[in-house]
Amino acid sequence: MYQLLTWRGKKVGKTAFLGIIAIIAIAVVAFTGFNQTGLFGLGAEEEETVKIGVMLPLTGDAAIYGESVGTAIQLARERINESGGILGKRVEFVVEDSACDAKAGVKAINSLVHLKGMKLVIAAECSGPALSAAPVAEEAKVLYLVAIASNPDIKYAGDYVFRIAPSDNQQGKDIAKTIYKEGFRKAASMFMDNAYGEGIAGVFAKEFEALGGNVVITQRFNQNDNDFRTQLLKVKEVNPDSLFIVGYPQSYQLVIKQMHELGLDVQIFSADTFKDETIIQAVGDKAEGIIFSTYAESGTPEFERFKQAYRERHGKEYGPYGDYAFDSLYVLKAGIEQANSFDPEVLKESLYDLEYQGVTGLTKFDEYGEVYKPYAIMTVRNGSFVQYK
Amino acid sequence: MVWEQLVVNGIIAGSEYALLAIGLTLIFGILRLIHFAHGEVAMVGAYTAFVVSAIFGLPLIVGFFVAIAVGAALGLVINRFAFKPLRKQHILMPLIAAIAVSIILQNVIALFFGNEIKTYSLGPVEKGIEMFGFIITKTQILIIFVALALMLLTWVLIKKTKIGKQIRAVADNRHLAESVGINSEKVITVTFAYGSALAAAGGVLIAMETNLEPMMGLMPNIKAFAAVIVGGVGSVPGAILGSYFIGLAENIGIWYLPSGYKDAIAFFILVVFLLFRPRGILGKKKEGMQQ
Repeated sequence: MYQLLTWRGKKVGKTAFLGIIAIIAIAVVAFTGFNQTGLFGLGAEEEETVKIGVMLPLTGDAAIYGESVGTAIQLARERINESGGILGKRVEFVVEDSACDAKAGVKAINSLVHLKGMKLVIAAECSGPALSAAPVAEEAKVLYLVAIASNPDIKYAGDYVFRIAPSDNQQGKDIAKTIYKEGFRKAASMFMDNAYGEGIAGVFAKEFEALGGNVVITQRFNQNDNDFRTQLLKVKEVNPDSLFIVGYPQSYQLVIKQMHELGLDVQIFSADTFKDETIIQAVGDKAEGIIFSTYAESGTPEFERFKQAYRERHGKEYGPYGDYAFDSLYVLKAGIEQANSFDPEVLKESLYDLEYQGVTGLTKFDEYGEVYKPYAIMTVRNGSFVQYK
Repeated sequence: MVWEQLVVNGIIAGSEYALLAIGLTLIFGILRLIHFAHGEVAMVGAYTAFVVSAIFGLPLIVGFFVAIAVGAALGLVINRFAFKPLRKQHILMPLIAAIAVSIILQNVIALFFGNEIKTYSLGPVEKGIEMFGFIITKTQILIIFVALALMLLTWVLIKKTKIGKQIRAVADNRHLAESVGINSEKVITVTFAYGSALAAAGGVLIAMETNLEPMMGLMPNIKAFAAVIVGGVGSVPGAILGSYFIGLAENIGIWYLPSGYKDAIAFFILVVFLLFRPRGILGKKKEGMQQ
């Protein structure tokens, strides 16, 4: 058979052919591997299913969120399907990978909306792609539900764009107030150069200066940086009394390690992405006393049930933002059932009137499609995350 | 104080790039192939040492040598199954294959180890040693010295041994080398094994400094590639020089520029060299480069 394959007029050799087969085989194995972890929906009868597009950061710098968020939203799907689906239809996911990259996000939403004809999309997603994909959904009149991204600008992304996570507009202010209240006046700010880091650091700086504090130096770093020594040296030279840092867990570990190696020892403040056990494992006692803001666990009965269900299904605690991912599908379900329709046009009106008590507390959208949910201020004590004061 | 520290920061970064750049330049030299998966070979090396030390509980130094062996073997496998079948094809074909290998390796590692960050657990984070106006940690000193040792080893291999002479001959002109009886396939095999072993060693050292995750090889490899071009394609001393040049320029550059421009500095240097001195700092004149 391979004799039939040609390239530039030459026959493809047997070894090349075998090589291609090997690569395909590996790809197939890789894919079935994903299937076992349940990231892709199973096929079902066309008429009896509702297809929902899901954007996840399955690869790239935030693939760790793809895992925790992907398994949680998949759990929501399983549970909904077990209890009769949405309006009697089984839920089927069409998953696209955004790689936590703003450019890939546009590609993912275009594929979901224009190639696969999705009318409902959940972006369980980093701020970058969630933000860059929103205008495409808005223009195509596709209902676009943001599950975990927190960049403040998502608020203005459009009529069809809803978000069940609280905005960093709130988080940036909360952490600025905390830093000020703790008596720090000369803060250094280091943030990741993407929609998430920029969004929250911008709000923080404005609020902190408004309170009367001073952001003495601002340093950016790239999403995949692993050398922060020169940025930290610049921070050290201006002698701040505190450091506010926003990034992903990988950057936190390295910043903490490298700042201590360089002899910079100031109080660190951080944001929601800090709540990740791997940071404590990696830097040990240097994580002690770090204060950060994060989405508060709602503590509702729904939350406890979710925690329990996740533990039973996966044999471990749910990962970062799992609760929000889980809730996103249920919010969509509640909206659809209230509207008694899958039509985005009708559904969006229904969502503006929705009041849904779920895993993440009360979801009630304002006129921008935003919610208010409280943040918690947490700290690290004896190697675990606890409420601060 | 500041300047000494900036220079040291640059040297640490440069040493990390150099460990990848040596293998890259050797492979580019003989095959005119941008080995996009070279960083992933380093990443696999780092994970190998992780398995040996964290899972089997052996000392990291054992893991380091196992990683070198696994890296060499992986280099051979990649060469045999991804590049050799494409040897006679257009030069872009192996490049695409290299990107494919890179993606496959990232995802295979993510499949087995997950995407979360792993560490070698080298003990608590401590302040580095203060000397001559800068601060440096033991790990960083080790990185610099291992990098220097491997550079020396490579220099001896290339300049003083028979296989080194053959590598240079094949890099200079493969057909001419073959016509005097050099088995170029054998030379390519050796180069892949050696370059990949160096990459794996580099991967372990980088991971000691910056932890492990499946994407860890991507950016250092791109920087190392820029270093190869800047230093002069195919030249080992050039690759080393280019690595330190880029490491220093990045770190000193962001002292004056906003820190977000760090990667941009490396690529700006790359573009400047491609425009004004495409053969790099130590590269040979054009005619020597043609196959």
